[in-house]
Amino acid sequence: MPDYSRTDTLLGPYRVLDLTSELGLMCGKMLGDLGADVIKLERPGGDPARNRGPFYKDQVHPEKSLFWFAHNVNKRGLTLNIRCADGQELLKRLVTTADFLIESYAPGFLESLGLDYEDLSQINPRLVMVSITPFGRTGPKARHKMSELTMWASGGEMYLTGDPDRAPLWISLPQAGLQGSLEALAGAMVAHWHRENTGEGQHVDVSIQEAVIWQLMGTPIGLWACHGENQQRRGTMQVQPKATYPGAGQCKDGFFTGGILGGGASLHTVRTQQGLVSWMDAEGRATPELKGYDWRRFDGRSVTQEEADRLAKPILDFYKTKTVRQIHEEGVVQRRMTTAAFYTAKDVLADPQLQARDYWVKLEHPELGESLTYPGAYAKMSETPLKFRRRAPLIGEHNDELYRGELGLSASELALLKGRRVI
Amino acid sequence: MEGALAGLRVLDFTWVLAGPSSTRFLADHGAQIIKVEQRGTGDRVRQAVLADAKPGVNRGGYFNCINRGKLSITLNMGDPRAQGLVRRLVPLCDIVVDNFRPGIMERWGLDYENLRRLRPDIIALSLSGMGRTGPYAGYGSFGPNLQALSGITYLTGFPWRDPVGFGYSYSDYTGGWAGALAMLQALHYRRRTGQGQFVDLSQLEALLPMLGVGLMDLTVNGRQATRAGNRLPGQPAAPHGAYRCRGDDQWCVIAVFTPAEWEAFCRALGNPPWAVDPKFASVTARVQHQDELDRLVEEWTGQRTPDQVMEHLQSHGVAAAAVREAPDLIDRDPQLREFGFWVEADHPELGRRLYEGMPFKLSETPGAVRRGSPLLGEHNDLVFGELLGLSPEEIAGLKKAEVI
Repeated sequence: MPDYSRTDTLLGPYRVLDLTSELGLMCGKMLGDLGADVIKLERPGGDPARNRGPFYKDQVHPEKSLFWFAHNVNKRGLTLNIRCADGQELLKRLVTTADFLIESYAPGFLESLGLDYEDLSQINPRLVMVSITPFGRTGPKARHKMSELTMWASGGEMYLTGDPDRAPLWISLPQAGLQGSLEALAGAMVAHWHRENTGEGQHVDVSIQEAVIWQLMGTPIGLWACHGENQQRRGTMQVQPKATYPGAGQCKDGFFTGGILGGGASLHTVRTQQGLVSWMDAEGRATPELKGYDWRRFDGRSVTQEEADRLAKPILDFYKTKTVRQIHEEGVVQRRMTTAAFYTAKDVLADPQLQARDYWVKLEHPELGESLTYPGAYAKMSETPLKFRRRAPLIGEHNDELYRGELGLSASELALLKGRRVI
Repeated sequence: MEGALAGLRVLDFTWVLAGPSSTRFLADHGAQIIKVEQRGTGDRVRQAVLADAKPGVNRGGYFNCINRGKLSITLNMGDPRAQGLVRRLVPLCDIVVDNFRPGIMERWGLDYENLRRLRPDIIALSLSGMGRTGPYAGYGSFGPNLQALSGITYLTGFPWRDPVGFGYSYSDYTGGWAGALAMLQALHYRRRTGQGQFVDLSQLEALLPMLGVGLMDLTVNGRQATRAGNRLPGQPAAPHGAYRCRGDDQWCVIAVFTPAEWEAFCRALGNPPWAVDPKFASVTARVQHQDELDRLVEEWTGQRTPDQVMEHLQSHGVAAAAVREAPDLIDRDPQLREFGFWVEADHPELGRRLYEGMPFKLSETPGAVRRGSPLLGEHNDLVFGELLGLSPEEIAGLKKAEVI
């Protein structure tokens, strides 16, 4: 049974076995942030995700992958080859003390090894097992070969992103596996609630395609099935029934967004437009039409192209004279406009709001002789703050600690297993 | 099956997208969500993308999708009598959640300290754009702003063109998800210890872990991540992109990494003469000549539909996927149909409608979409009458006085 005396974190008493690839690494990481004892199982020699760049100081090395670092914080590390009988035996012993097991193998793989949920739940009926796959574990595409790009395309997000006359786009960093991880964690927490109420474990079957669809926030159902509109890519343009106008544009040293005209008379929009016009006016750049405009009556659905163009032009020209910093300091901070410059990663790091909230976390990497900076907690919880306790594990870093210390294997047994590439 | 969260009750002051999507998740799994809406207007998303293009506060497409399975009560929160009703509801609820800017809940006497007096183990979640503290606490924020401030917008687009940003609202998704998780996690802690807590959730902070690798490339290597079109920075792959197919705005993505995948790709295309060109012999060489390679690939895809490209390449073991649009997802995707992803439920005004199912299947406690979204104030009688025990006369009086 879990050690319930560990109450200083949310999941302190619980243990997680993490058998995921890049499709699910983030799920285990976030369970670790909540205090769970997460053990990442890697194949002997190290997990393939360690080969993904970028690398620490561009040194291509399995112990220096930033992709690995970012997604394996707060885990301990074991090597284990579950393809051989001895490895399977060790895994089953680990399962007896585990509360969660997360995996992202191809459908059918664990079953072929006798390690499916049916098998493992007999060893530990309390186990919550989470499977993350691109398309779920059954169905015509269950065995499709996948990549980040194919999951993003299959979930409908890609079609919405980009300019109408060009190829649909993803964003330039892998996301689909992270979205699968978020849903996996949500499913695991619901299953955990049920387990704590009844003692009964269960299986959570996550489809990344469906996770990507959820991220569309109702576009297929709300906009298409209910309203009959199939949303198209539109770049940064606002596409309204009678007019198309920019929702973003260039500033002096970058770009900004802010709904140049907004999409309806919300309070934010009205305050933003009034603030903008008074700012333009202070510099003698507001046209008489802008000065006299009643923004409470602006309605994106009825504005004509001619009017939209007339309103937008002086605004776009004005922004071109402002820097990213000016838009922030004068527009957002002083005039309380709901506008924003497109931040680069450098701007994000320098953001005073995030700094004031102690968002960034430093973790020591003794092997590298320095501490690295990580993004921090996704929520500030008054009683159980999320904690960043340890950097990602080295290959087999906790083999001794767990195989000897906990499973009671001797040093010679361990050497033998290592020699036979079981661990 | 009631759902794993049956028996839990949430007083939900959130509106628009992020907050309501966090409580939708709890509703799907059986929690009772009492959505508090401003008397008269309600959640303003009620008026967006109207079903069948007919006007009405109960016809919003997004609203219906994101508020399914909840109860709706209306209150004129400016009226002290309305605030009094809320104070009587709080002790009956496990969680109170809002996404107002700081100051509003305080003004109504519903800040965490006050909520705790009403129920000592209450869990309170504040789901704001930038958090409750810091110099920008309380700034107005929408998806486009938060995404711009996270760096995502700058990263999306072709390197030689202006950034285009994310197609819809990513921060609402990640913020809603983080809110749901925070509530569940606080519930777990309360069960173990009997203690509630206050959660200060910044949607911006919930979005940034999704960009961890790019941010670390900067903090560690000093390298500024930039937009890469559909190419993959940090890992050589080619072809890797979206390719135009036969038809109007039809696309298929293809991703080839290893030598074996490249060979399979060439076989799938019938080993065209250009496949043996030394320019394309290794992945390094292909990445170098990617523009030329992309044009050749597109000559082949351009003669086929996205599904033909996908099926043919997949049969050769090459990662390929049709770029799906909303109608494809609903009407034509066999995988989603087989998985039973789209489900039907009844809405009191819109009738039987489609909803998205849950992105994961729980074997023992699957949860369910029980009903569509509530009409504005549909559950006033239920909540104020059955739950609070007000008499029909009292309720009628409150309605007349425009309190509820």
